[in-house]
Amino acid sequence: MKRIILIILIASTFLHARKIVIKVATLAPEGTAWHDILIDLSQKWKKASNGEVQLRIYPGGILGDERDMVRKMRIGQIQAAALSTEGLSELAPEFSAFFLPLAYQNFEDVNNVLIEFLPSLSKSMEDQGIKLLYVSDLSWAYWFSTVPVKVPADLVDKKIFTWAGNYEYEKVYRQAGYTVVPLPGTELLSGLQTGLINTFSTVPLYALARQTFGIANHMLDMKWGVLLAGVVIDKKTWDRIPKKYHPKLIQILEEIKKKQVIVNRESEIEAIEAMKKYGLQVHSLNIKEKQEWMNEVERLGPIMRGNTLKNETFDRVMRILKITTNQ
Amino acid sequence: MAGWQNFSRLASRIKWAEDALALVIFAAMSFLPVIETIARVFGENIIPASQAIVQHCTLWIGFIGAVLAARRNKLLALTRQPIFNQEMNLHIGRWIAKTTSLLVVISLAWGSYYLLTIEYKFPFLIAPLIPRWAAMVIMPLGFVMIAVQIYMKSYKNHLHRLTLIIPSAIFTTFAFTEILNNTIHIVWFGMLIIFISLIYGAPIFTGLGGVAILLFWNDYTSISAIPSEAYRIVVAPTLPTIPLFTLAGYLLAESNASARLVNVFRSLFGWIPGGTPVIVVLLCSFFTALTGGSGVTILALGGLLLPLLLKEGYNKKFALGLITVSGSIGLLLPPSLPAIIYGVRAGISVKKVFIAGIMPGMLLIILISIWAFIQGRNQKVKIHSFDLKTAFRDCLETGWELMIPILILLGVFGGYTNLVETAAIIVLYVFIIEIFIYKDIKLKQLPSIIVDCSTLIGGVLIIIGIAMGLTSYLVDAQIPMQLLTWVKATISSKYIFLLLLNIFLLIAGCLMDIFSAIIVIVPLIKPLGAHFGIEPFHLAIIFIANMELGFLTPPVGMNLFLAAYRFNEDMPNIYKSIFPFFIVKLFAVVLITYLPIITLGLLH
Repeated sequence: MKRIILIILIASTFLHARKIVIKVATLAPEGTAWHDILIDLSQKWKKASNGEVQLRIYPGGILGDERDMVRKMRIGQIQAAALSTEGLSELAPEFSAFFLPLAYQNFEDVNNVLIEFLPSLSKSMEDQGIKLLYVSDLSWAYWFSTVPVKVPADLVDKKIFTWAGNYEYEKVYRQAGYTVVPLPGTELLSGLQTGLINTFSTVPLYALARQTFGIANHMLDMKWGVLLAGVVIDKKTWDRIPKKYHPKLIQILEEIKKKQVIVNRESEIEAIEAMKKYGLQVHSLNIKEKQEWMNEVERLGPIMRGNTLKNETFDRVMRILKITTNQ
Repeated sequence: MAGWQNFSRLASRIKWAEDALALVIFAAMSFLPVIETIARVFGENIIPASQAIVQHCTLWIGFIGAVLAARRNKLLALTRQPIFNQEMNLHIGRWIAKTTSLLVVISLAWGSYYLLTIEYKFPFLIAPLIPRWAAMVIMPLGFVMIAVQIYMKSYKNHLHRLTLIIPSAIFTTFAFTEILNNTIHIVWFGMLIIFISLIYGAPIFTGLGGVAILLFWNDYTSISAIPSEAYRIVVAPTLPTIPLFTLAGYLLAESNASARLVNVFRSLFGWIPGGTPVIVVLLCSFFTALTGGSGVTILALGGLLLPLLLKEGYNKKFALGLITVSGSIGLLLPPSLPAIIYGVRAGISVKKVFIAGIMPGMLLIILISIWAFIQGRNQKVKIHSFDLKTAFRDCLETGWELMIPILILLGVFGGYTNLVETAAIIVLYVFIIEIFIYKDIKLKQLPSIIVDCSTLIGGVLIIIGIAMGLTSYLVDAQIPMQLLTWVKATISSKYIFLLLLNIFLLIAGCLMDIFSAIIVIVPLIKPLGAHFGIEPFHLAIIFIANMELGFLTPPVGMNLFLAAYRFNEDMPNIYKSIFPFFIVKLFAVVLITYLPIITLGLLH
């Protein structure tokens, strides 16, 4: 018995002396701006903690999609993840406030809502043992289609791609009278080629990466939605990092964030320019067309309220954004 | 005694419930996507989240099928002799195999239970009123049922059975105290035990699972990582095609479709001297493609084709080899199951893998046909005369079945349906023509066909799921990245890489079954392919073509087992009979590997 206790003691001291390895998963493939941030972060954290904190990055979705990453964090297979709105909303459903179409028209809108929501978002994550380290806007989502889409009426006879497994969005579109075809992301391009789908909304970087611009060569220059990015870490792991390093690590994150927001915005423009070279046509709207979309969103509002997001969340976003627009 | 009676009544009720559940789930899987397709045409929305429901049906059918397979002693293993047959005497090797299997299954049950509790804590709706944890209930439940089946079927004698419990108890104690973690000797010792178990007939999935458990445990990671990965791959949006195409294949195999197809091909090509072997090749490829290459071709057609060849004067060695080889030729043609699994695993378009596979598939058929034709001419055989009227009549009679490949191609390229919907439509189509038009299958036969089919699917899906858990460890330990770094440093030429890849895949094909090979190896070679500038779809076809060869490579080539089983021959006889065909196929694989245009021609 004594011997067993001894072994356990030795083992536990050994454990404490070990470096803290943090496994971080992300969908961002190697070579993208987002992957670069994580590498930057990993180098700076390592230096700041005298080599005690080490990040091990799993890029390109090799550990699965964002919901898989969240599950892996919960069973303790990984300790951190860099997520988009999709994964963040699995951790805190309030994040679906950022799925509202056409609600956000500039970065200030996004910021205002984020600032207001942040305390409750962080808290609901902390309750699950997860710490939200970083959150910012990543990119805007636009409509891409095989033939020009300029007004909501153009969407009616289109076959719209939605992500397989996200039935709530399917439901909203369907209730609004649109035809949706849920597909896995891997079949997006072949779906466009065979005509199973012909319209989808996404961020320019994704359209570029999936090379959909050859077929879906029309883009509507209207900010349909916003995509956020965030980094979360398992709270137990965070607490295992000696307290003295915490402020420094947070400070590094803030610095990276400032730099990154600019990089993100630039890379979105670059992606659109790159696609234009391959024949992407970007259509802009006149005031009348813009108004038609606004009317459409007003029609969608009641369908989304209580469906994809809770009533109070919806109302809160509306309230915040109205205040900002009135100013 | 009354207690025993109660128990056996309970057992038979559970058995009934398992069968009934398999039926209900298959019905849901086949009807929901078809309703969805029709609704889309009319712009209606009838069933919300029908896709998610169908995806989770795959999970359920996989686990129920695995339980059925355990119950019927049909879990896929490396031996021909199944081990869970209520043995009378204690054989040490088989005892180890049984103990290991039980231990692994119990650990997986525990891991899935833990996963379930976590999902329960953070509920998420996959469909209205259905939380994800509810859909996951089948995982721990399924493993527990498998464990019960394995235990009950292990030995006839109660005391013998009880001996299986002792090592489990010891192991569990160690597992919870965590004393032995991080001792690499334990891992090696465990691997050795697992290897021995596999040789003595432990199910393949317990071997894969055992290795994964050891590695995760050694790394202080919860073994829930394994069921969590199994869940992830089995509910992948494209995976429902696997049970669906397999069911369509089973229905065709049970009908007289094979006899009708022989007639058609014979009246069309029988006039060629040495034509019958060519017919066998065409027919088998056709049938394998229709059934997705789930291995039913040899079982379904073997009994018909072997006597046919022998009667016409071909020698037995040639006939055996021909049929065994032909059973795997259609694997590159849509809707091949390996192509689906490859696409899902590599994260590339399954439809495009199908398109890429068409030309290489044809090439294989042509090369094997030429060889069969030459061989056929050397042996004195009968020639049929060509009669336009008979040919036309036979085509007409088989018309409904000849439509199936057209329907599949229409589904894949037409843009009306996605893959799962295509598969579901094929199932309903085959169901209708075989039951109501040809009347080959009676409705009351249906339950037993579906139970048989579920058994096969369960055996395959559980391997895929657990193999995914094992790869998850490899990815976790960053082995693909290390491999990439190593290869970058040592190999500079694309062609040397391709050559090494061929050799590696051949060896892998000899040692692993095709399903776990795809799951485990794809993440390793995908970055390598990208580094050497090999198109992902070309890599897919190289992989599958190599694995086709693997189907024929001793000792574990699946077709060799199936042929040995179907024709009641010893394995060495089968090995000898396939040798010349193996060489021809090897030649084809080399062409496919080094001439990318064969694969990519249709894609561009």
